[in-house]
Amino acid sequence: VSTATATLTYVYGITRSGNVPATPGIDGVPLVAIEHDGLVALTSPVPQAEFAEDRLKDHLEDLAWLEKTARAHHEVIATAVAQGEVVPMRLCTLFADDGRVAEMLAREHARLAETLERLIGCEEWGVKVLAEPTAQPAPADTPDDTATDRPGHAFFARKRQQAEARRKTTASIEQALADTDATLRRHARASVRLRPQQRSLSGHRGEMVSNAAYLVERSRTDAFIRTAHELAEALAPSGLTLDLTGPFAPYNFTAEPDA
Amino acid sequence: VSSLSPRGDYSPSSGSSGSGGASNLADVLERVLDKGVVIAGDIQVNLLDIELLTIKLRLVVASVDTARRMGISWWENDPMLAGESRENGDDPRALSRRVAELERQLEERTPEREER
Repeated sequence: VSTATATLTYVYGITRSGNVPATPGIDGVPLVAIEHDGLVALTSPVPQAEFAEDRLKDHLEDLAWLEKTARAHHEVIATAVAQGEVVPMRLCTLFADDGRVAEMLAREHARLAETLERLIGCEEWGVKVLAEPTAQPAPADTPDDTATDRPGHAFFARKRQQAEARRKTTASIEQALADTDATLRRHARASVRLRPQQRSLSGHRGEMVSNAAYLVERSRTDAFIRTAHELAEALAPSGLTLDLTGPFAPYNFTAEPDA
Repeated sequence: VSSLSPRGDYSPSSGSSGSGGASNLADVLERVLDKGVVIAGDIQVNLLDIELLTIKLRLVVASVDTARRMGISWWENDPMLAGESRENGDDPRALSRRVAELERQLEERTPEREER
């Protein structure tokens, strides 16, 4: 028994019969479809030496390994969702073998089938709003306080004005974000707010003042995109940039909606 | 002006997000790590326990609204102002009193200013 060839079964997501993408999985290994009662688990074998519990924890702390694995996972799901519904699994959902996956499909059948049903015809879009740093008051405008008779007084008067300007700017940004979200939600079935992203990962410029995901029916995708374009134009004069990404598999909408 | 990239997930140009890849890594990670169906597999790894994820990838915040305010906080990142308010407490009147006193002392030391 060679441990070098021992594998675990990695599950990317659940879809229906007939929707198995040709995309390879992790390490370029072809996907294996495991079917049970109309549900198909998109899987591939991964080396046990790499994905066993004690090794996995270390690998997940390694950003290069994490990116490679996350992108492979994401690619399988993105290809599957382009062809039909798919319920994405969280990263590193692993089973001892294919038989254990079939057992899981049997055990979780009702929940997975219901989730697939609920997501029919929908895709997820991400909308971020970025505030340009150039929208800040220019430091070059700072007057020389010591040129006046009362430099301290002038300094604090200026600081008060700047604080007031900041309050007004923050309030107007909050209002613009609320209006943008409300307008986009009119074209979406559901929406969630996400945390602002880490700059080291996203590489974004300016400050991410909002990050949200919208579940959009494909029949309304064009209207959603058109609306996003209009909103982007409306926000631009305020130094706010709207960044639309997608479509994604509905990762953010797999949970049961609140009753 | 906008950085709209419709269908960006499938095209290499992903708006102004600055990522060279098909999808910005943050867009991918915030989905595959944080979202998706959680099913207990045979390998038990709690992604929430991963140090890299908790420290580097997540903002430790109480709520999304807090996060949003933190996102906006660069308006308040004037180091001069922030530094002063920490040293002196947040009472602007106390600061004004100190400034008035300093101005008074300055005037005493520089009598030539009085001649103007």
